[in-house]
Amino acid sequence: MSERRKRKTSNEPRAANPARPPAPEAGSGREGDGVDESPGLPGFRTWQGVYLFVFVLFVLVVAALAVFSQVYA
Amino acid sequence: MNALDWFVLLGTMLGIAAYGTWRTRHTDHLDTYLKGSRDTGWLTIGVSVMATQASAITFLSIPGQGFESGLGFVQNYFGLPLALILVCAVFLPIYRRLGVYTAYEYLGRRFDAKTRLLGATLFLLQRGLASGVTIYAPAIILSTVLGWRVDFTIIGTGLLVIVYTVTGGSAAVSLTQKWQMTVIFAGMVTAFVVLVVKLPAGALEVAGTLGKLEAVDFSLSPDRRYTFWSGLLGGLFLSLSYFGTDQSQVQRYLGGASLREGRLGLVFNAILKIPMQFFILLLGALVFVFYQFEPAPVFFNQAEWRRHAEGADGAKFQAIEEKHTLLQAQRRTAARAWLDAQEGGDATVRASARTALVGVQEKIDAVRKEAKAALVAADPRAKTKDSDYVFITFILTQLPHGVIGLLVAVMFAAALGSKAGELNALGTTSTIDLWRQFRPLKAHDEARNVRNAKWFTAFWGLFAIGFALFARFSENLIEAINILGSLFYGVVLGLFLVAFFARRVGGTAVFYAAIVAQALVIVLYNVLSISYLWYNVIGCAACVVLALLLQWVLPAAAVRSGLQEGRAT
Repeated sequence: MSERRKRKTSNEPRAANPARPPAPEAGSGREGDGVDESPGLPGFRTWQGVYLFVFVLFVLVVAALAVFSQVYA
Repeated sequence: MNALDWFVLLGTMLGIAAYGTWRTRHTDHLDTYLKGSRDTGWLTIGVSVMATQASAITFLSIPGQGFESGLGFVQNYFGLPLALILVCAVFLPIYRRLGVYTAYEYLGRRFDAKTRLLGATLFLLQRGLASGVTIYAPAIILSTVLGWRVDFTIIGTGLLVIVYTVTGGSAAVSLTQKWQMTVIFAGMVTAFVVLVVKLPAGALEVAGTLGKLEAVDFSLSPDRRYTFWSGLLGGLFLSLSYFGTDQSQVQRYLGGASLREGRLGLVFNAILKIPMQFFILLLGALVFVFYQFEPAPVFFNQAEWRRHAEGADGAKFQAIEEKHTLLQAQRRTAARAWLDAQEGGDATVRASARTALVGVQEKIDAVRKEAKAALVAADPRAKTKDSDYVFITFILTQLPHGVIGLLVAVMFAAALGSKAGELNALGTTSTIDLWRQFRPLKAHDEARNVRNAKWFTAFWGLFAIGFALFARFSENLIEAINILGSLFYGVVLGLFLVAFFARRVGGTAVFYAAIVAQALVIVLYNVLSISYLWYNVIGCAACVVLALLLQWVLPAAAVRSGLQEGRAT
């Protein structure tokens, strides 16, 4: 992908104008550790798997609450 | 409260604050002060996120909601797990990759300085006002029931949280929140166990019969405050905005050793939050069952009741109390008869016992309404909402000494934990998004940055104390905070969604769109009578749609100018 194309599709900030004084954000810390990494949980190789697990658990909890409401209605 | 209760209360509160202050007293690096220790693990982050959200109001008001309206309030949290998945997948990786200190810093980089300033200002306005409620809520309730002076309680808790938050910043906040949550879990589990031991077998059936266990309502009526749909959609937007764009939450998961730790901390909350809220509401519903068999006051805010009952209309108040006592005796008999019928009776006997129990409960509800009307007749400014006093009344009258101290400590631990998160975020945003923007040449002086962050944190702490001392708040405190949040959160979320997903929209278009959307939400709030959760959806949708329209309509030159400003910041 060309540099121009990359910039057009990115939702991240563009590079600062070199003619301007340094922006205040220059002092911000811990950059560059946003890369995807393995969740490191047994049974889960990707984060998508973890999110799916949370979603399924959510559906089960809502279903259990609905059943609970019916049983004690 | 006796000496043992005081020992437990002061020992836990002062001990945790002193430990946090001492452990983080040498925090002088800006990165550690604003983001916490570099080796913070996922459990600390998860607990910190939970403690920031769970204020004292959570543990005072939510059991009261369970007592009065049943479990329906749990639906408010249905959007939360889905929102946290989105924060993990979209928001968090971008924040960490850019190494920002605040969420609004990202807006400045993506759009321009004015949009960043708008996002930060909306946050400071909303969270600054909410911080007054956070400190006022437990103080007014605990002072009323314990006979303390409310101003001393506000100042005491306010100063305590200022000391350790200013000293250690984010590192102190995370450290103390971990211990505060330990106290909270220990206290709530103890209260639950003691309550369950005191209840007769069949307590859940009694609660169900009296309509307290309806947790899910699939009704589509927009007038109903808590439904599955309003909770899922409105709750999704509220949670997405709160966890994704509110600095008090963003700051909790921005720190940590890696992206993985932040994500797992959020997943921890996505899994536990609904069960935790269900458990707290169930506690309230079971307290309701407890008072089916034990004498309860006609009005739970006894200080307010006595203030008027001892006045000129004393005879009227006494008559109401006598009627209530008589009906309570009938209710005890009806509840026992209903339990007996469940064990051995046939269907007709069970139906008849149920009708009798429901009938007496309706009469008691009518007497409680009569009591509230009498309060208003005696003083139109009287506080007639007593659900916030239900759980604390149960604690003070039914739990053993020592446990009372622990439960009062739970309320203060929750107040301090959420307050610390708020102050930390307010101080950080004021330093990074305001001070550094207007004094860019000072931005690289680390010591000065830390010093300013401490001053701003102290300022917001004192502001919250002043606001809590002099403002008059809504009676239902948890709703007051949620309503305030819902009025601002939608628009702020709109700003971020445009930033993430509408790549062609520039700073000028989104800036004016956000201002118009915010004005629209405030006008609609004063005109419509819909559930406040919907304002999250309306504000967000208005901001996104208007930004897209403005980008399309605005002269190309204006948009280009906005984009260039964005590049420069």
